[in-house]
Amino acid sequence: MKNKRFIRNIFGIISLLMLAYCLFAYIFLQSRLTMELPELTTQLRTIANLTVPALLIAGLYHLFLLVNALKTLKGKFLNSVYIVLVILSGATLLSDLTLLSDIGKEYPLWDVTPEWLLLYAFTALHILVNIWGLIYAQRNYSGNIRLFQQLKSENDTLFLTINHVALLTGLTGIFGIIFAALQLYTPAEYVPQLTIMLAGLALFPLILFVVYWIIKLGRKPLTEWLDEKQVADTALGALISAVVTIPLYVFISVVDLTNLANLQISFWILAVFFTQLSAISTVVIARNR
Amino acid sequence: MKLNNNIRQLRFHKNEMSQQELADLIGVSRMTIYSIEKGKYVPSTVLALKISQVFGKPVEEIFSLTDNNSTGVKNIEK
Repeated sequence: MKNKRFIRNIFGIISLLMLAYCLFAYIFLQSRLTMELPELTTQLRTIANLTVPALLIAGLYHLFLLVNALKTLKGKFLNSVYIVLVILSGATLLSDLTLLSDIGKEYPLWDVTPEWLLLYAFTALHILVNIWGLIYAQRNYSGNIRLFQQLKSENDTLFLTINHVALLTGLTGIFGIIFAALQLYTPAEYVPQLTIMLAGLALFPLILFVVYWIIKLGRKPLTEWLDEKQVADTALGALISAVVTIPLYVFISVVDLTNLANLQISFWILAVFFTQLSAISTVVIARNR
Repeated sequence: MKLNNNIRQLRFHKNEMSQQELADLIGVSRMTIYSIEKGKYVPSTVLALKISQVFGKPVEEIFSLTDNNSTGVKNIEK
């Protein structure tokens, strides 16, 4: 047991060192990649290429953190925040490589500061999750528990966690689409793509959890997935969500009729969807406190 | 009108049965049992009957209605 804990901690520390390497590599590369440098030197290319195995190790550690977190679900909000962050951080590890590759191609042509900022933001998230994971795994190690074993009689825990994740997804989604609509770093023509990308990223943890839920409860008849109180809570959540979104529909109509803002249909659809998701899950969480 | 119950006492007298054990027996979540006991949730007829089966008592011995008027608690049968 002590050996396992030692290996676990070493794994976490190596992953953290790898992320620190990536951060320093980005800082170094950003200082060198200017429009005056027409082509990447071998040294710079090697530094950039070394981030691939570093991110791979961090990715494997994220996978361990996710599995451990799923095995030790508590139904507590902070626990759900941690899981959502692990999933988001793990998903954006892949984006890091794409971003770095794009920067490598685009830096001689135009300003790539937005890509660098996104890369730093993602790296900060990875480092935060890595440190939190190291601390979390000290207190909550799943040991020999199998992935779907722990929740046999803990229907509440999974139900509550899914609603926490749905609320976080809703809030992240609203934040994401507003961020995209503000056009801070993105030209107007790329806003719909950015909106959909950020919405997809926000939805990713929820989709993963729903899949986990389906696998967990898949053998039960559909009527037994939720008990009657859970159905009643969700129905009340849906009713309140319908009421909450009425002002939003009115606002959308006014904006559309008066041409107040030139926002895409994807923005409004996602705004309503994420608002409804947040409202339903807020009601369910409030009724299960 | 409020639905009262004595599930907590009945659990205690039945070998100090936990909420989770009762929940498992009737196929609901622990939170549902907790909410029924606290009077936050009114169970369906089916669930009330399942609970009465577990304790071997008629439903009306487990659940009772009270009126929350200012005059005090009144029995519905009156």
